[in-house]
Amino acid sequence: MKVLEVSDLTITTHGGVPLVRGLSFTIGRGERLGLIGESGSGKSLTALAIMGLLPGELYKSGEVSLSEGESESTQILTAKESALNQIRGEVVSVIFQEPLTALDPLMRVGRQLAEPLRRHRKLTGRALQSSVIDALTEVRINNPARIARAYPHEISGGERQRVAIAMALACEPTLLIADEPTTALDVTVQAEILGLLDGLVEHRHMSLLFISHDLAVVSQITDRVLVLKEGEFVESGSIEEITHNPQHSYTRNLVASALQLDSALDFASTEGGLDGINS
Amino acid sequence: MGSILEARNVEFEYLHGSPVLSDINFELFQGKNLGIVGESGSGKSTILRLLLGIRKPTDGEILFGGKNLSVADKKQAREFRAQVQVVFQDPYSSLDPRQRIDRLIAEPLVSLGLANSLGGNSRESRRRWIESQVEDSLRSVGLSTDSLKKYPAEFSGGQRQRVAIARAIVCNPKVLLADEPVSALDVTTRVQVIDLLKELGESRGQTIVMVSHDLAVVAALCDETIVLEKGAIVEKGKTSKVLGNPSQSYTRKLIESLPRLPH
Repeated sequence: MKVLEVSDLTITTHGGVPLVRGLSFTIGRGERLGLIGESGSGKSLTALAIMGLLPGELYKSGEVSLSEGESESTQILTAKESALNQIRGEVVSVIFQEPLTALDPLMRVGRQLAEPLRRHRKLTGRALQSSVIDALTEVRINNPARIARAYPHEISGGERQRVAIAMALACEPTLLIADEPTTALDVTVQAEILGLLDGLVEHRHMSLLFISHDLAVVSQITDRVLVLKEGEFVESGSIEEITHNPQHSYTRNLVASALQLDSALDFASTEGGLDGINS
Repeated sequence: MGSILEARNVEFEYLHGSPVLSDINFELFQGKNLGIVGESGSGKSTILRLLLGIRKPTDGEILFGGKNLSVADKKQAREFRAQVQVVFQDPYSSLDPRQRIDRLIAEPLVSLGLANSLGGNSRESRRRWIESQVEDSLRSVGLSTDSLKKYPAEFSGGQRQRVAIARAIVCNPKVLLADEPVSALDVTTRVQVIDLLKELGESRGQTIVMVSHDLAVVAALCDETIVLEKGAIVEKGKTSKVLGNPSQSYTRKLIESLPRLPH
């Protein structure tokens, strides 16, 4: 069953410059897809189009349809704002790269997290409070009661991203979009957040669209990738196919660069290992 | 041969703050690129500020050519700036958007007074000397001299970082301090800039000190590595040893956290 179907999505500027050109792909229930590309490849615009959040001054055509369960699908590009508000959070949610800009700096974390729960699940009072704590516990935050009372600037980058994940998952969406969710984080925190996302997506049987410029990061959490270049589809396949047998020269270049950096660490492990034995 | 730069028993804390760096000791030798790795808050950028002379250690000293570095000593400061140049992380904010590339790159030659001392007596000969140095530097970073009259906005991120590197090497410094020089770039561009930095080390004898959170970049470029955790050095030595056979659990955790491609 398809959760997301993007067909022939085209986004152009007011002046007619194409930003995304005829992009088509689908994501099924419980499926994970990685969207890979360099700056300006249209990855984030595609995410915004799926959320119905594209800036009004851009022209868009094609279809983006989202469906939840057996119910009829919604055409995002033509849907009314009221329908989109219902869908956002319940059917599709997004986590952005920079958690500090995704959170309201003037609102305590608990109140922000309560908003989607109140709006979509109509929770109030004690039930709302305990759902907030449950949501924070689920993203493995230590001392959830303290974090709920804190303002975003009072907590660490990793904790902020966990809060953003808790907010995105609060209403149990069918599809989660993660737009470079670990790029701003330290490598150890990145590993924790990837592990957390992996577990939550698996446990809830959610679909995932994971956007990144980093093939190594994507390979940790998805098994299928789609490569974008300057707004156009280049190729798609499993991580293994794309890494070991890329068909397109653009992908070959991308993979070669990623492998070159990756192999710098191999040299360390072999030489270092010998050093260790010799010394 | 003695070290070019040295941190000796360096301690640092901000006013009314807790210690940021404690007991920092290391030496930088000609031709041995040094990587300083650590996570946010580990004190890597503070070390860079101390090495640049922007901040003074609370205790201990930074030695430049064996002498205590003091930017109050105008003569030493000028010599230091000509020998130690910096490349910042974000090429979008480190280049003045209103200046053309030729003026941007020529800036250190003018502000350090090198044009006056090396460019000859007449104005014309100084102008020609600056021009040739700028062109030479631009070619070293793989950009054509057609770029000279362009503005930074006309370049991509990777090209801007090349311009920033050209500006840093125009006065032929011994040391390039680079603060996360490739982390704002795409992976293909990242590899090109690392290759360029490596090449400059070989062709112009420049030694690089690179501060980074990215172990792969450090492994690709640096001979020696220092691992910092919460303001203290937890491990240092040859990169192959530190990253290939780490003795500290913190270093091992950093390495294990790295996402790797399937082999």
